[in-house]
Amino acid sequence: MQLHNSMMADVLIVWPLEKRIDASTATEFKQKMSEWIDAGNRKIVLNLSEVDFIDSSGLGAIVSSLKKISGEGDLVICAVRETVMSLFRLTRMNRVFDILPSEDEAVRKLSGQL
Amino acid sequence: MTQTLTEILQKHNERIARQWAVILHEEGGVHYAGRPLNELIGTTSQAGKAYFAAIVHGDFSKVDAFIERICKLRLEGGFSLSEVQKAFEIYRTLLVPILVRELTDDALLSALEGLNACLSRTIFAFSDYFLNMANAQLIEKQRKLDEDLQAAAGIQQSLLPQKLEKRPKIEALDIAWKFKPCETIGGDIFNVIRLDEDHLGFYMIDVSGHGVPPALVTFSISQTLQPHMGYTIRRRPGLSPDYDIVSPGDVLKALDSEYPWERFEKFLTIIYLIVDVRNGRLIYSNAAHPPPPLLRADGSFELLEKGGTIIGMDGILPFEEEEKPFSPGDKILLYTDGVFEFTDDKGELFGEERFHSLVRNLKGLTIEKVLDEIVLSIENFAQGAKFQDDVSLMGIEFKERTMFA
Repeated sequence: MQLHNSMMADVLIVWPLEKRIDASTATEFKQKMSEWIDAGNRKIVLNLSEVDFIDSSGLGAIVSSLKKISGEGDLVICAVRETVMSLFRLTRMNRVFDILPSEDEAVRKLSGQL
Repeated sequence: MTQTLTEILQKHNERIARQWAVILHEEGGVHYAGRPLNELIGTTSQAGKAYFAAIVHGDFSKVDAFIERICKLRLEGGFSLSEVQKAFEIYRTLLVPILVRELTDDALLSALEGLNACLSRTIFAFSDYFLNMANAQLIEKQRKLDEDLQAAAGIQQSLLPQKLEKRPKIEALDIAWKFKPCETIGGDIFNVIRLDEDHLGFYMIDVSGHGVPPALVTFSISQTLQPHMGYTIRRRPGLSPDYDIVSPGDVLKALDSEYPWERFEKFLTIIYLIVDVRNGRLIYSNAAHPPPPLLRADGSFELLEKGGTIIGMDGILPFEEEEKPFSPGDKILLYTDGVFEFTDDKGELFGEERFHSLVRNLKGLTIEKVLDEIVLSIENFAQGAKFQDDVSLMGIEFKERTMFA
């Protein structure tokens, strides 16, 4: 899967360049996120601007990443499309994830400026 | 002229048949190599005679009969289509040099045309026969699959509540249900389990997707929820009473760890509800299933909205529980989102709100009638279009306990 990543100060920005996070990509996604967390990244922004479908595997992979980092750091999600947002609402995941409208706000939140 | 061609074929036929058989035996592939040479000489001689009749006299009856025999013998015997077709190309490579040597001009041209016509006819006939054979095999395979699917659907039906007359009598409750998988078999399942004299458990499950894979998951979970499996009733040997009814939140928590998302890679939603008929109370928890409406006897309407996320997310959200009074005349509807997530021919969604307002207006009817009305409404909306998702509905009505004199 195409997973763009960049650093802004100490914040890692992960930007999946895929329409779907599903059974075919979830394992790779989970693996990559896990490597970044193991490498010491403690502030991660997940930009979902390109994603318009997430299945249970995709949701599970995001949840795994969140669980892995929790207690030691933060994972913030941003730029969520309406289709994915309604999935988050339906599965009540909007209560679990920190969701911000833009990447900029997400980075500021993790840098303690928001 | 004809005389000359006749003479050529008569003169060479036997030798060609022999050469043909030898080439087949040595270069025709594993299947021909596995046949005795004498058998091959037999068939190539027959072929030579049939082609003689066709090329010289224009009589194709022997060729057709021969083709049919070879189809049965070779294609049905497991030879590949290309093997059989190549075998007949050998005849061309043997005969053409002889014709070119012995004939000239028009005589040669007409002999070659005759030969080509015969071989085209043979090769096309093999293709047709092979295709029909493959089709017949596919149809047979499909028939078998359909039969298996029907049988599986029958087994899935057995996981639903039993017919009224066979069900253990549940005093104080009226239960009705509808089950309409959009294919033969589906990812919805629901049932009633008796937990003890006063408590009944109700569950409804929706596994994402259609067909066999989600259906197998429904089989597994239905099994897990059976009282003897320890998930819904916990044994406490030596204590009194010697069992505990597991609360809905704890049942969902156990399922959450038993069915992590990696196991089936499907969305799995479930609502689990326990009705205490003695005290007129209900308690439920919900794993991201659509919230059930509670229709009060006085006509008021509320949604049972507590719960957590889908099953398999490793306890990321707690499965909240809620307890409610359940009084005579009150009704509860459990359903999967297939009940409202479908569109009419203009692409308009039926939608959850329309569903709720439909249910609000169905007060004063028996639970059986309520379900009939819902199905009628969604069928009217869909205008005879096939449902895009499984549709499941289960209604529970609390009745006045009557004492018969």
